[in-house]
Amino acid sequence: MSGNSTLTGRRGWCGRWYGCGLRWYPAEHRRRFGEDMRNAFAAQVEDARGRGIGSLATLLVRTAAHLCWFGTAERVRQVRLRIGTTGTDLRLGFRRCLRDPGSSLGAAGVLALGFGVLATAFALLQGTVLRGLPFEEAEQLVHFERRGAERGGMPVVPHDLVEWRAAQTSFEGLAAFVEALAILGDQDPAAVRVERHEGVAIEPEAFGLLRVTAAHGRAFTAADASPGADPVLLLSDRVWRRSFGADPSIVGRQVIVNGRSTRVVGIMPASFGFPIDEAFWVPLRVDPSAVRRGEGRLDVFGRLRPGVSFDAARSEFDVIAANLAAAYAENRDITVDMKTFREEYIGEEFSSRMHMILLGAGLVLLIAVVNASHLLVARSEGRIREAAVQVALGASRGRMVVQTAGEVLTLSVLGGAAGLAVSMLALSGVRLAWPSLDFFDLPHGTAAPFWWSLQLDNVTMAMTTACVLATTVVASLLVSVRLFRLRDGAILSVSARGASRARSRGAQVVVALQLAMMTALVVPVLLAAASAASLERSVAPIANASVYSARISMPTDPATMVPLILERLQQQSTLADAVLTTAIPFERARSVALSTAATADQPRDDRPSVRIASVSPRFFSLFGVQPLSGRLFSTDDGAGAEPVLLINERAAARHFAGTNPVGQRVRLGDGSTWLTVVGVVPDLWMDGDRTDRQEGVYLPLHQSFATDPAWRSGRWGSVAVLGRARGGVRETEFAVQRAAAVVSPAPAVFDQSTMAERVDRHASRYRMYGHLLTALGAAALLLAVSGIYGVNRAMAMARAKEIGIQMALGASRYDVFRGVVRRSTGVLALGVVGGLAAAFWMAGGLAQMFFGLDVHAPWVFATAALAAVGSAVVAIVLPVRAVSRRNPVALLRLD
Amino acid sequence: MPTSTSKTDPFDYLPLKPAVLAILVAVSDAPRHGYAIIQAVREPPHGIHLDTGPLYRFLKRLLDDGLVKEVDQGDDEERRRYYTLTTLGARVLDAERARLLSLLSRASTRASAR
Repeated sequence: MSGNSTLTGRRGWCGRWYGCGLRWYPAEHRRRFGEDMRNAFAAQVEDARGRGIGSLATLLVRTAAHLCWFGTAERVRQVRLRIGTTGTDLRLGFRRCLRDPGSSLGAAGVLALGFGVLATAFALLQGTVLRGLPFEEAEQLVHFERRGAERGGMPVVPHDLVEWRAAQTSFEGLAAFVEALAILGDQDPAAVRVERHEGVAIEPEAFGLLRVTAAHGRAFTAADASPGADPVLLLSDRVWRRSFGADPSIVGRQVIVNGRSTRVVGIMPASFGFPIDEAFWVPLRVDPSAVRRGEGRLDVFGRLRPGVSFDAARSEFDVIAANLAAAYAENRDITVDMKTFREEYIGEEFSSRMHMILLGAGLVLLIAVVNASHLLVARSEGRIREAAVQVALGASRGRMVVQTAGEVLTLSVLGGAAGLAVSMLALSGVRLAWPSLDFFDLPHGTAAPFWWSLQLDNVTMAMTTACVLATTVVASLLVSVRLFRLRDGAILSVSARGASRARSRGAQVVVALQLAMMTALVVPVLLAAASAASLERSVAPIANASVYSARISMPTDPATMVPLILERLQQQSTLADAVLTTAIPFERARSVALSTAATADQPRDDRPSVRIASVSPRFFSLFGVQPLSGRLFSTDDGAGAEPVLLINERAAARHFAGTNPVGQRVRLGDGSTWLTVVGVVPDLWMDGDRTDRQEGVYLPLHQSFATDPAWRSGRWGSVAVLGRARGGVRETEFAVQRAAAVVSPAPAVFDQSTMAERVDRHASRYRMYGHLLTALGAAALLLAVSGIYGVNRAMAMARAKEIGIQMALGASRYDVFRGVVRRSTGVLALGVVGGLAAAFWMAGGLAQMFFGLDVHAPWVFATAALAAVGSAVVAIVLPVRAVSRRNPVALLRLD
Repeated sequence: MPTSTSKTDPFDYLPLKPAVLAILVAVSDAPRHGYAIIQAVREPPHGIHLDTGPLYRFLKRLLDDGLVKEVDQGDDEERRRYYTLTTLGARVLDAERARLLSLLSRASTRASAR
């Protein structure tokens, strides 16, 4: 064969062409046969050339087809082989998990915690920030406020809105809304429960600007807001379903809104609750002639015209505001503050807070991954010899990483699934708790914005899956790198102890940090438990499940009607011991300035205020309360009798310190009437759970129409009825309605619940804090204990020979334990002290989460320290115990 | 050394494909390199046109199954690889020959019966 021809030979163009074609074969095949194939092909070409150009052409065509076909076949075969090998390695890793279920479950649990925390944090971010606002082209919607040079942000006033509308060209339109309350019932009192709802009065053009239409019926038209129009109402999907059983025939029917017959014209879609989470909408007519310039309060928004930028609109409104400021004294120094809806309703601060939570959750996952890898390394140390043998037999590092990946993947998938379950639980907790979590900046008891959706959606699931895979890669590499080091040591017959000792300082830092974290989180858990117990004790007298409570909307002329209602209530038998009050215990009572003979001359603003409630005579006996001194009210304390009042313990201590208040006289607000204190009663929660605002006084209901300034100003929206229910809620409700029928043909009885439920609504906030903190504390405990255990198990394995020597020389297992714990004393002390310091700093900030407690109580910190040290000692001793149970002779034989 | 399978019973490999049988026969009498095998299987009675692609695919399988092995032929100037039959390969070839003979014998018996 000639190698010199330009056509034939290995270096001829045929040979080079064949060499190129061979590249389609897998590298392994080329390495093995490439050279030989080229030689054989060169010989074939030489042979074919001798037979003529036709033979050569046929050979080339046939060879090209073979190169394509067999190259592909080899590649497919190689991939299948690789998949088969990888599958075998992954299965091997899976079996390793089954061989050691204890540590597998431990590692999976730790990872579940990490995934659960991360999935929850991401779902929070996704559900509140990333989803954005559910409006068509939401970025075109702009919210307006007025801003004074000294007064800061202010609502828009009707006169300005009218001027803005006339002058602006940047917006398709502007629309206003104001908050509204509705006592909603049906024409037929038996058909629908009367309920109190929060909604808005809104200008009809708002729906066009928001690009929404009603799901049933219609939205408002301009005619609905014209003077003299019949009252109409739009219901939210939520109220339609809950109060009207999703009856479509409600559209067009009349319902009672605040005592007025109103026609329901439509039901809004389930996804609509503008602006926050409204239950209803009524038409708003902005009438500047009804108020003076500069008065009134409106929320205003607009939609930018297509092609108009936010900055251009802002410039236009700067000019409009300047013109108004020049024209009217009331607008002096007033500018217009414009924000996009996103800025107004989500806000950069909230968004960054959510991102910070996600970052924190990422750190928790990182800790979990490190701890899980410690556990895996610790349990793999026993297999170092096995790994060394595998290497000796030709196993590549890649295959060993794949085996480890199989192990980690099994644990990650288990942990991921459990983590999603943890996250679902946590999210349902957050959904329950968010009205009372200050974190969300919602007023207590307020529903979350309607666009929030705290659930595991597809994006969150996809993110969690990605994290599971990323964790598998990271943890596999972490574990593999450490195992390679140990294995290389084993191959070179070098003890793994050297490497372990080199690592021990880093491991001690891990132990100290995790112990500090655990200690810092045990403190709030203890505080939450103590808070719950304290709350339970405090509310026991009023948290009575047999006491019914409700509110009745108040008519005009309460001085005549309220005694009549009370009389009717006391005549019926469904509600025993019925009483009326202006303030239900545990809800916020109104406040009024109180002056004694000593402070009567002080300016009004300097006089301390107290909570005030007007109650009918048997109010205190309903809760089994006895006076601490003096007497309670009686039927003799009527309208014509001497004006009297009762004072609670805290108010007595503050205003009459060191003297007996009974018989002393006080004055309320700006009134000139002196009232005589006839008794001191225990504190009965007059301002929610605020322990610092419970000073209060009680007036006899019949006298209060003359002595309580609020009755005179007509500020009572409702009066509360309390009593012992002898029947079901429905029967009691009818009884109260019948009694209240004197004030209106369709009286509004609403906000019904037992006192136990009412107290529970307030107490649930603390319970929720308790659950959240306990969950966090348990998570920290699990993380810390697993981390400390993993580190110490690896160290115990490395010190196995040393332990064997100690035991061979006569040391008992307890001597060994004592030695190990003594060596860890410094780390334990450092971790616990650091954790206590962090907890001390945190407790001050968390004080509002706990009820009636000294958050820096020494017993709490001492108990937390003991619990942390106890858990840590167990996590340190357990791995040593496992090693010390082995035969000392076997331990001495270890390399 | 067999790498892909641990089959040691010659009958596990039967029946052989014509090309495989031809390759085994080609390397049974003396070690041959790739091109020599191509030439040998092209000769009668095989008459099989094997190109390098299919040849080396078969060879790879036979090497992995341990039916053929590489042998060193230090005197080859072009440093080509030579392949020869292993003991297992020889047993497989014998088994295939016996199978074919038995087949032929039955066919002959039937033909003479007709």
